[in-house]
Formats: sequence, structure tokens, C-alpha cells
Amino acid sequence: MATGGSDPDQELIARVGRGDPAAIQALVARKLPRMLQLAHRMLNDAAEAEDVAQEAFLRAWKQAPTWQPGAARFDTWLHRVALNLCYDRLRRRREVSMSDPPEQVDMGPAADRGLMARDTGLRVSAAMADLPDRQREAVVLCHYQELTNIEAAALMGVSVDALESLLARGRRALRAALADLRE
Amino acid sequence: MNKDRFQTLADAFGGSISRWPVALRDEAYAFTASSPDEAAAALASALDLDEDLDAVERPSPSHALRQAIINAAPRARPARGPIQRWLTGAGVGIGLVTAAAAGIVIGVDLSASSAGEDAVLLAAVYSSGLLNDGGDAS
Repeated sequence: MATGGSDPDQELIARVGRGDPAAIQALVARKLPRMLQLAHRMLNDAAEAEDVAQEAFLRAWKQAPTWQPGAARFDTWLHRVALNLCYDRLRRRREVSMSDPPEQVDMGPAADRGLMARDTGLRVSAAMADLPDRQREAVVLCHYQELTNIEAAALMGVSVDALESLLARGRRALRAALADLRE
Repeated sequence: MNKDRFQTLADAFGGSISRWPVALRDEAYAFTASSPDEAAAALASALDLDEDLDAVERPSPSHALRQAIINAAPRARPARGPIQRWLTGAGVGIGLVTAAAAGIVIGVDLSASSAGEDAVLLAAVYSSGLLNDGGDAS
């Protein structure tokens, strides 16, 4: 994991570990939107994203009293926890879909599909959901979470070159899937 | 940096060189200066995708979620003032004294019970004639 010098959250975590209510509020304000976004982009499901964010914080509360600065940045650790929780859910989804394949969704007439295409946000979310998990993770970490390539590669356990390849393939696939938005 | 490498980096890191890895930016800016048209084309295509990605609504945490998380956080033990500390110490002292007194009372009571039981046993032995028989034999 990337250590990257001093941890900007270190003092806050120490106070959280002592049960300081102001520090708890501050940490939630600082991290919850990021964790919720991470889970939402990975899972494309608002309710599941909330569950993941809540569980990640529960683990943070357990960890805070004994948090050892220097092993990893708290933000990196929290990302890893949330990503693991997301992958658990993605795995369960695959197991369910393999044992009980969903019925084909009727996309409706072509005119309706054109109407749907106007909602860029929904189209992008759907295209993101169709990406292979690791490509989606790379795009989420670098574009939405704004991690550096070194931080994202360390978090994913891959080399910087491998991350670059995942990103390039993921973004090319997204561009192809969304090409009609630019016509 | 050549055109293909620049295109790959734009594909990977997007249409804004300021968001590319720091170590690559100087070379990238040099390429834009030497090949402005090719650089602009690569960046424009990547910027379009950046805009599409940013069109996705950012989820906002609900009040209920925020409160549920905060409510589950570790709680600080309330700070104890000097009076509370004295009261706690006094409470421990009183407890020890009470326990010691209770021990003495129970000890005395057990002794009394034991003495009573001995008297009953002795009376039973006398009434059974065991001691008298022994006396005759001697």
C-alpha cells in the first residue's frame, strides 16, 4: 500500500479512537461522500453502496483505537476495505446470476431507446457497469476518486504500467459504448 | 514522446494533462508544443469522455446514513472530576469495609452453627449408650 509520507488523517483518527465526537463528525464529513461514491460507481446500486459505506465505517471505528500510523494511509486503508466489500457483493451477484439467470430485459422500441440515450448519466453508469471489474476499478480510482496512478496501482496491487493498461482499455471501451452520444 | 505514446496516455488519463502522472507531464507538454494538431486531437477525444464521466450524478449521503454511522462510532468515557474520583475511591473503601464486616459475621455464625451441631451429635452419642458401654468395659 502507498504510504506517501505523513498521513493527513492521522491526528483525526487518533481523536476518533479516543471517542472525540467532533472528530467523528469531521471524519464522516470528510470520507463518507468519497466512500459512497466509490461503492456507487463499483456497484451501480444506491442501496448496496450505502450498505458498503456503512460497513466500511464500522470497520474504521473498530480500527481507530489501535490505529498504527505509518503502515498505510488511513484513506488508502479505507478504500481497500470498501473495495473488498464491493468485490464480495459483485462475487455474490455473479453466483446468483449463474444459478438463476435473469430474464432478458425488453429495451422497448427504438424511439424509447433514443429517449434513454439522452440521459447521459444513466448511459455512463450502465456503460461503467458493463466494464470488467478491474477496468472499472481503475477508472473509478483515477477519475472519480482522483487518486494518483501510484496510489491506485498500489491499492489494486498492480504495477503502474498495468494500471495504465487497465485505464486505457477501460476508457476506450467506455468511449465506444458512448459513441452515439457524440453523434 | 511520440504520437502513439501521447495517444495512449490520453486514453488512460484523460484530456487534461494536469491530471496525468506528474512524471509524464513535462514530456507531454513538450509534445503538445511540437505537434499541436495531433496533441489537440488526442486530448479532445479524451476530454469528451471526461465530460461524459462527470455527467454522472454524485451520490449524496442521506442524513439517516450519516447518523447511523455516527451513532455506531466509539464513545468517549465521560471525564471524571475530583469529586467523582473521591466518591469512587470512597465507594471502593466502603465496599471493602462492608465485605470485611460481612466476613466476620459469617465466620462467627458458622462457628455458632458448628458448635450447635457438635452438641446435637454428642447428645445422640450419649443417648445411644456408646460412651457408657465403653466405660463399663474399662
